[in-house]
Amino acid sequence: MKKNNYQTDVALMSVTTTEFKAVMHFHDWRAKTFTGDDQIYDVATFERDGKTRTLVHAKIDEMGMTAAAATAMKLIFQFRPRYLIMVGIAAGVVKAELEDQRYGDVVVPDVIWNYSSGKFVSPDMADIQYGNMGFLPRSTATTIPEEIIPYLRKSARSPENPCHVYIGPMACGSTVVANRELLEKQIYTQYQHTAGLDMESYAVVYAANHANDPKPIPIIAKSVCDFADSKKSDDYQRFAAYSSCEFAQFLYEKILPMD
Amino acid sequence: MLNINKTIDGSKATFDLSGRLDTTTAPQLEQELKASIDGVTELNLDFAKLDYISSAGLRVLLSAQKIMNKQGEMVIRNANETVMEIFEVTGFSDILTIE
Repeated sequence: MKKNNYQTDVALMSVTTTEFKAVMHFHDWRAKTFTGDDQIYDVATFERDGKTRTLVHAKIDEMGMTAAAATAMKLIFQFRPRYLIMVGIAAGVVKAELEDQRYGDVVVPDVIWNYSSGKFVSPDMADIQYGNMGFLPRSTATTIPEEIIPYLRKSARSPENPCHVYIGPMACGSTVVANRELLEKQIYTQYQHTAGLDMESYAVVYAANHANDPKPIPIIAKSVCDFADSKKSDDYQRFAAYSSCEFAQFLYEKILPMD
Repeated sequence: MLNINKTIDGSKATFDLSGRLDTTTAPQLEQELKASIDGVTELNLDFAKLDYISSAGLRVLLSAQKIMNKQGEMVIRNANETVMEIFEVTGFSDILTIE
């Protein structure tokens, strides 16, 4: 882990207004802007090990990987954070191995894969079929740096952890999924142990892993607000956004190494 | 630390909570609720002495609400300002019955 040249301890990212409001709840923020940059950043501080630490937040102005990558890069270059943490909401999964996954549970991926990359072809050319159309996946994956995984596992096990946490693969794609068939065919067939779905995490982690030095360590902490099926609703988005921020705060105030 | 004072009167159950409902104590409440709410149609949770609730505590409340939706009503009463603020931020004030 690089120890030098970081200028900010933690950077947070969110997308939706619900996520933004949850982030704002946890600290006393003030806005910061730069000439020639239309992004509004929020800055705050927190105490850790007797020192005042710096925190910055940027809200991505639209959902999806393109805006997420662009905003992540700007945030990295403006503030040079040690950690880049994306909070917010995600879809959970309903599978026997994750039987107890519930609204508000936090998914912290070790691997994030882009399931929407691929090619639409005629149905006879692909194993994944939707009516008279086939899909050939060309999924790509990016990973959370190995050095930080033990800290994530420690946080999940800690009795002080305020949330239920699942560490496992996150599927990221450019569309909202509210369809069980797509979930089964396109996501579980490619990565059967997927623990959650979102629309930005791949881009944020990719941006952090490909930034020039000092690279931030990317972490995704997104909470379950629905299960990507036809029962999908907005009822639990505020709770999910809150729990992801509560877990992120626990991570940077108690667990992640800062010096 | 969480103290639970439980009163069952026929199909009416009242839980007076005091202390903190967090990761450490939420399983305690979940276990008490599971053991007690079978056949209960009126579940009252009195939060007058509850100082704090974390996401783990909220998770237990959602599970209890899910059960009570099938068999009766769950009401949360007397939440203090700190807990009410968490209910507002998380949207629980719209999901649960809070008096």
